[in-house]
Amino acid sequence: MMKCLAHSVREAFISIRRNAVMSLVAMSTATFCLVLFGAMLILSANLNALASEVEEQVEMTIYLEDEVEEAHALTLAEQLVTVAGVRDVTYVSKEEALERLCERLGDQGAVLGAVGGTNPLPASLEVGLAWPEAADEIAEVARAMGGVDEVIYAQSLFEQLLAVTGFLRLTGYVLVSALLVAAACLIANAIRLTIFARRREIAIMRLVGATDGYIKGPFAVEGLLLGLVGALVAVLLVSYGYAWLVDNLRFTIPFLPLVPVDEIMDTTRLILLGAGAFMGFSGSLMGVRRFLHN
Amino acid sequence: MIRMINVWKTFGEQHALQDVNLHVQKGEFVFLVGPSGAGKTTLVRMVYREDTPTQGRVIIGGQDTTRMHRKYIPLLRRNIGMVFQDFKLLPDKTVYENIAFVLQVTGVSGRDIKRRVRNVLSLVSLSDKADQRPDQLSGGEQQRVAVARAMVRDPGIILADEPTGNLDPATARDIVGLLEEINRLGCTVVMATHAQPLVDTMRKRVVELVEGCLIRDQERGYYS
Repeated sequence: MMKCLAHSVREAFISIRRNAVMSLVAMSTATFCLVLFGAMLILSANLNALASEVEEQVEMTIYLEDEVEEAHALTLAEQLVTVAGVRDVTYVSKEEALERLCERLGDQGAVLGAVGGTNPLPASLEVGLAWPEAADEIAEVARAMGGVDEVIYAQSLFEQLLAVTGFLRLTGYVLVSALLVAAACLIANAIRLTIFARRREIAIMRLVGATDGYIKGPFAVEGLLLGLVGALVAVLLVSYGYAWLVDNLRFTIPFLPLVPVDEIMDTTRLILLGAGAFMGFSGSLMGVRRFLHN
Repeated sequence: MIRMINVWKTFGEQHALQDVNLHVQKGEFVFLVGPSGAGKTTLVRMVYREDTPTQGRVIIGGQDTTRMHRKYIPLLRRNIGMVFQDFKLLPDKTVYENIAFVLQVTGVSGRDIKRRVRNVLSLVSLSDKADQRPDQLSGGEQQRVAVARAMVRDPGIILADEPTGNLDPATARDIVGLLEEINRLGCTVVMATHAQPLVDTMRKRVVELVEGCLIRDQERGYYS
């Protein structure tokens, strides 16, 4: 077993050196695909973060009738919190609503004097939504409660938002999956070229009684090495590239919520190295199997 | 050692072998003769299980190879040395490496490999060419390397498919002389050939195939 492994590693290095150009092509293909794959992973993570952030900011306001007292309003709030899809409920009294309006108006607050010292603003319940998809059902429940005057939420905005974030996520996943498959095929083909160059050797090995494992071993190690080295280069490019992007975009588009480098890169590095090793290994096995079975 | 029982091989409408029955004893030297397309190579390929019969059974060293699982084929081939018309040497390996290669494949230790390769190289008189690559050798020398490779594992059977096809008559005689020497050491040799003068001089057992049929099996026979 150890002898076979040592033979595989030795032969893999000899083969890489002998087919340097072809190995470089395979490795560069791996790097190219894995950089794109890494970029998609990061983009997808950022889209997820952006979508979650926007969704978290979505709220619903339930205006209460004037005669509803604070105790009753708080009871309503407690009932609402138990409804599925509700994250939190905040009671805003008539006075608080007025204060907020004054703050917002600032110097122009004097116009409020024109309403004759009475407070025309209704008390309300501000509902934070855990799942914006549940907005319609929550609104139904709220309307059925006593003392509720009006429920306001941007229904079409919700729907649009859900459609956009859903689409972005789906697109991200589809692109990543497609890219992964494409990358595996490209690497398999590149490795197939090195195997094709050695098809005579494989045929002779079979004739002299080499087992399939003995023949596949060096190719599997070669694929693994090429995939790993390709992935290492890709990891460097993606790490530095994303760090550079975050640094620059922080100032150019400060409101864009980019996922911090530390938070995302550890996982991305592992995924890229794993994907590179797996693609190289399985690609070379796929390639060599065809020659063995012919 | 080699037993073929009612063997048929059909490719589409074409019968490459038709109801062939053959029994080769341990230590025999057999010439397989016949015109091109008679089925000699198909028969040889069945012995080393590169092909299986459409019908019938092939038994090598007591094992029915017709029903043999893929994973046992390498083990079968380790007891068979093969020599081909086109030598089938690895062009980027030296003479030594080409021979050592078949021992490495079976996990023989480094020291043992060195000893056995040296022995076999001296038997084929190529000790001084150990470090050369095949393209630096003549056709006859390349075939001697192939013979050395075939015998280095002391196989029970040596199959030679037109081993002299690319060689001049004198070199061809050398190669067959080598095979005869190996045979004298107890190894069964089956050689498919077109070389009439060689067959006629050697007077060994001759099996003749025509259009896939075994039409003659003669002890101390002639080419035709």
